[in-house]
Amino acid sequence: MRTENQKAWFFVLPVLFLVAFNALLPMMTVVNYSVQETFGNNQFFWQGLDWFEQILRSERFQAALGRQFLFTAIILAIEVPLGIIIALSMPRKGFWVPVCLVLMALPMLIPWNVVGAMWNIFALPKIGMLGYFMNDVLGINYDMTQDPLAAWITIIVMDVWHWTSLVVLLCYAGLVSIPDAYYQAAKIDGATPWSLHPTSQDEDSLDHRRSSQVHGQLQHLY
Amino acid sequence: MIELHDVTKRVGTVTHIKPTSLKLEAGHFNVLLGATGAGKTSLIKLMAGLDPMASGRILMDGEDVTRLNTQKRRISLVHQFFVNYPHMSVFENIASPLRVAGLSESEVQGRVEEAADLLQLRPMLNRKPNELSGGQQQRTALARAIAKDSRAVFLDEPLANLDYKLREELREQLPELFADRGAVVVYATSEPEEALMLGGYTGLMDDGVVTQFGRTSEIYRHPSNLTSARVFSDPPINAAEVTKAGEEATLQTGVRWTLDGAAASLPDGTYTVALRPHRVLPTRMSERDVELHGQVLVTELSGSDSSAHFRLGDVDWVSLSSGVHPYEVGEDHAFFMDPKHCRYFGADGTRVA
Repeated sequence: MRTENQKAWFFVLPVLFLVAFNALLPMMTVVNYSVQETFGNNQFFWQGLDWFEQILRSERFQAALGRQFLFTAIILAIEVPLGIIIALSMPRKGFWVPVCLVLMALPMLIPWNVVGAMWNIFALPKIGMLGYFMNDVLGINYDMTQDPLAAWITIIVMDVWHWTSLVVLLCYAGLVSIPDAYYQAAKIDGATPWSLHPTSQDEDSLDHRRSSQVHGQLQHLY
Repeated sequence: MIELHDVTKRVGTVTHIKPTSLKLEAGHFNVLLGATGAGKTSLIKLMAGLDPMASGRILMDGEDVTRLNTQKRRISLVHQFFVNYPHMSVFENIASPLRVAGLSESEVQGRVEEAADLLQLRPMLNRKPNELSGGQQQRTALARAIAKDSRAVFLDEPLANLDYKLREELREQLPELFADRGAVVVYATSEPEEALMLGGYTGLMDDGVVTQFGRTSEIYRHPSNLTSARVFSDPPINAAEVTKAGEEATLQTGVRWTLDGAAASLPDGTYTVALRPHRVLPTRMSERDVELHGQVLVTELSGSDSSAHFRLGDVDWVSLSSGVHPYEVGEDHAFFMDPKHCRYFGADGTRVA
């Protein structure tokens, strides 16, 4: 029988210690502030959960939360399919593999706070390349500093640019780990690279017939 | 019918398949026989559309499929390695091409069960491939090929990774399984014995080219060139330089015999004589037999057969005889051959007599 020895956990203790002093304990002061009120002079009054209640009831907060969910839904709806499509069309061997991988990794290598600063300047009308191009070359009125719709489109495009690579690289890693023989087998079975298999089981018969025609490679690959 | 017209394959600057033309028909096995690296798999992949051709044309049942991708060629392929989708049951594996083709559920059910019965997979239909033995896994792959309505079935050394018993069993079944299916069956193997057992037609491959194609028994008996004779012989065929003068043939070592028939009327000169190992025996069988004396280098005993490699001049010869012969390595031993079994090849390797 294997003897159990959990002493290795002691090696984790230094990290726990460091993180405690670095992050956990300082954060407790924030938690403390969140249930107090002060007018300065280091004088605090107990406030309970009032701040939290106010925030949750605030219309501005609720609207912002809603927009956040909308934003997340939109970028996921774009990035996940786009990432899978790009990963499927990337070469699996040869000269272009490293080229594609590096190009894909580039946006992700940029720190996220720099992404914002970069896109801010890039998209400014008159000054930024994108802003100038849209307004003065294409003649489309585009000002993301004034127009909410322009701002929305800008941050979505920016997020897609920054994060689609993650989906691509994750999918690509999965795809290349599948031996060639399975791709060949799927091709011989007649599956096209783009065919997808629906996961729902409760489709009507007409739908089923169509879906079985498009059933294919991806299903084989999952 | 599959027709290949001057098909070639290149990877970079390396030529894998030299211009090859073939006509493969349905109704019998078409065996591609050649050593590893001879180009059997390359040729199959070209026919399957899995690799691009450098030049040439491929026709299937008269339709030009050169530019058609694999998906549209309506073919099946069984590899040496058992390729089944690991996440699907045996049933789903066999059904996979049928579902892609858009067959109705009842049709799929029927075809899968038919194929499963032929290959005795009925009890395993609900299992996953990794719960099966190697033989069962390969039978699943074969069932997938059989269930599908293909114009061509490519079997690329399908038995190579199975143990001896299973191999014999499946090899016997294979011709029956594919009989009357109307598909062109192409079977690649590196074993001459397997080609002879499967019968039908055989294409001999060497260094990316088909050196001879014809009825299996026919090309075994009548190799048209030295390469074909070598490819279709296991153990390797004996080949030595021989000088012909008048009606007499002389080996380098001075061994001589009288020529008759076509060989006698050849112009005088140097030829290559080739003789299968089982025609070189340790005992004299007839008056005509020529005696060869050589030093025994290696001996092998395979069941009821004995083989001896012996050195004659600067050529290694092999003798294969039934029965157990007590050769001593290093001893000088007499071997006998009947000149009527000798085949003669010219300087370019073509058979001349």
